[in-house]
Amino acid sequence: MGAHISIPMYERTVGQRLAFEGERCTDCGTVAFPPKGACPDCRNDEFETVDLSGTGTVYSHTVLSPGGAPPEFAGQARAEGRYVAAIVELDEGPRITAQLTDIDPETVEIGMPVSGRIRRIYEEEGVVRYGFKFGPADD
Amino acid sequence: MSVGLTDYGVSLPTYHVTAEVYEEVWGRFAARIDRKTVPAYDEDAMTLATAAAREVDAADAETLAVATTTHPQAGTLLSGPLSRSVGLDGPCRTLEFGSSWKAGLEALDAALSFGSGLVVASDTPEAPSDEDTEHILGAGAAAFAVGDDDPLATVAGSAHYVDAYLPAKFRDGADLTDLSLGGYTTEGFVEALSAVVDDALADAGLSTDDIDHAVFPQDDVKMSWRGGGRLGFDADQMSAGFVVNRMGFAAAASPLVGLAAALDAAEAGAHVLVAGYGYGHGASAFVLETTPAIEAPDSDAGVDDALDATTALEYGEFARLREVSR
Amino acid sequence: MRDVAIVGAGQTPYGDHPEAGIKELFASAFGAMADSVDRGFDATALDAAYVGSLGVGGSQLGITGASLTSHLGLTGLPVQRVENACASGGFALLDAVHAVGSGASDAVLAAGVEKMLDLSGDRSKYWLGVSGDTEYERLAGMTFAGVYAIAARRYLHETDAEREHLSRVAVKNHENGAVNPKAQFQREVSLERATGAPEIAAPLNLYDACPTTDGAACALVVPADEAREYTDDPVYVTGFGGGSDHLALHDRETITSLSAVREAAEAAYDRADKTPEDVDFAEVHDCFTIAELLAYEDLGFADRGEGWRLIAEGRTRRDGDLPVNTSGGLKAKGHPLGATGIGQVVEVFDQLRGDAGDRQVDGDVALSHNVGGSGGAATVFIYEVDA
Repeated sequence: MGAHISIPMYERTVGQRLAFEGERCTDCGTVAFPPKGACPDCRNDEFETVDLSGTGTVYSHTVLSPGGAPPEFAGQARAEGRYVAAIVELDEGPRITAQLTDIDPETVEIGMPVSGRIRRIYEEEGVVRYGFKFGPADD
Repeated sequence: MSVGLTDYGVSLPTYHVTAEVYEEVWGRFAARIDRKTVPAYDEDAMTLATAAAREVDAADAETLAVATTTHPQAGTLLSGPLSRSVGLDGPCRTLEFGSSWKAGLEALDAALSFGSGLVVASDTPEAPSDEDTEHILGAGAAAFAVGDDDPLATVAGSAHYVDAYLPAKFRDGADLTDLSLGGYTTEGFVEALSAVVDDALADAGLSTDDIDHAVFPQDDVKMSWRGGGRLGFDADQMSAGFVVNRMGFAAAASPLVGLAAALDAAEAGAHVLVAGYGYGHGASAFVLETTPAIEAPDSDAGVDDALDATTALEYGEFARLREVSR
Repeated sequence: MRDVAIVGAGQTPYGDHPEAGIKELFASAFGAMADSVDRGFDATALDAAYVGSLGVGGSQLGITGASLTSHLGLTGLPVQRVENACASGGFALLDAVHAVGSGASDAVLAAGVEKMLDLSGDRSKYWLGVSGDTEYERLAGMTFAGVYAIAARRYLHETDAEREHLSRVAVKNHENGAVNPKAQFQREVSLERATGAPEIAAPLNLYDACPTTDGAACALVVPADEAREYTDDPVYVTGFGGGSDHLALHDRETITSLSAVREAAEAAYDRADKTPEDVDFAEVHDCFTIAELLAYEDLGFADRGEGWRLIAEGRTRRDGDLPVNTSGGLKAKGHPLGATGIGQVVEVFDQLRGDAGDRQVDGDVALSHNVGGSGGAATVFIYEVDA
């Protein structure tokens, strides 16, 4: 059994997961990602949608050992071993948690530039859930 | 302005496995190539399609033409998540092709017919590892923007062919089956290919000698190479687009990745022939003529570098990945 | 608001209880609590109960509280489950303190229970991940250890602390667990062993993590001015506070300080009219070793970025000037999620009354600190006894 994210729940976030859709506070201009119910800075509740670049830097990270992987990621861990989960600070300011991919875990460092890419996140109820991971930034 | 290809890009999966690694385990490598690409656990035809499409400037495309024979979510539109990933969601026509390995050219044909669009071919064919059929199977994706705004290459000629000819290769569930019918397979292949190559060259008013780069189907190296030879092409003409040697066979995506590699090599005013074959059977061919725009520094898709950039797997790593992924 | 006191506190031994479910664990803790009330008490006099539990396993997620009290024949009284992940126990106590302090209730049970060791491997891993942010942290394949590991990496980056200081927290807490008969791990570990343990989520290894645990704990909260009806040695709850924050680390301004804890601590110190310097010893939420270092700073025992010095200098050992986690902490005593916050009360209650045996430390002012998830919720309490 894995974390249950219903299909509708996932669907509500596809803009974030596939296209880095964030929101900008119409009052103070603060960018929020993932979208919030109120501006993280001024608590205004009106926003405009903004497409974020999907690029940023590693704020911190961990390398997860396969044995402890949550059930829905056990297959990935069995197939490829240790994997990296990181908090990435996006160029527009917000931070987000995601896996790093296409990278040797030993080479990841705080401050390293990364860029988003679409990958299979996991599968539940027979439906593939796609979303972003980050990898080394393009040159 | 005439319609043509305005941009193109490719995406290859994370890993590769070499012929030597296969030979160590199985005693032989049936594919006659150096190595083939292997998707990571989190990659599939949709993610490769997205990565290729993101290499292409097609922000205004009104048609999304997609080809894959290995749709990760059968019975649904791959165009859905793909469109959102590349910003084409909304009023956009979708066309999806996937019955045969000719699907990539069918998607290209459709977009060219409409005069614009984004074409994406992506495939990750599979077969059981203990069968020779599996050895050549790789993965990859290519994307082309079609339009009339300063194209890199325009269409000089095209041709199509179809007939009944019982297939030697087909898909059984997720897995590819090859009945290994040898000469029978080659004859059908050459018959369909020669029909479309002859007709496309005639349509373009060209002869085989006028072709700088020719890209033929690559599901069987010997058949592809010899078939091309029987059609009158030599190694110099066929080598640039012969991506199978380092990619393996990526089903419907192969002709388009090959085309991208040929365009990378082409200079302005070059003629590029690309042909696709579908078992069952039929073929399509296009003759493209490159424009000066092909020599712009950023037009290159870097297929050669992309093929170099994949990470080598030992057989054990490859087997583990496949055992869990399949 | 009237003053409140704790006049009884007891718990099951922490660890593996194959013979007991949540009802049996609860009954055992309730009995230990009742035994600790010097002049005894009438259970039917309870007029409310708050039971902290995450509900691990999901077998009695609905109306968990009454399923436990009714097992002891206690029906009629209002009972509710309090859920704030690993801080469920702390918030159960906070509710009990509010109920008594407000004058609404005169004898309230604050309890906590968790049964974690009867689950299959997959179910256990699933339940261990339910208290983080599900939509992004969990879907990054993140584990509970992973979240704290990310904080640890950042802490090591921002401060002069070294990896070894994390392990020293484990060594210290095992020293204390070794002399706590209720602890899950009653053995010491060497620094060499703690630093060399298998990695679970770099930079954290197995010895940076608390175990999964079965256990329950209970405390009896009454008005301070009625406390002497129960005992000559009541423990007064003079400060209390709760706080909350974004569940996901990525939504917080910093990941090396928990604002929920700072809020809770400020409220508790203010109410008790105490400062961090007044605290004689503390039970803090060391679900992972890094959490104890962050606690030192967020509770004001050390400046930001300087918490590691307390462990480096040995100041938080039992013989130091500010003993922390004399019980062994979550690391060695164990961490039955919903019970933990109340289990901390049991240690404080025993220490302040001089009943802590081999691990007894001196002090009249104690603090407990209970954190839910990675800091999405937290409570801080300050306890005093008559000098």
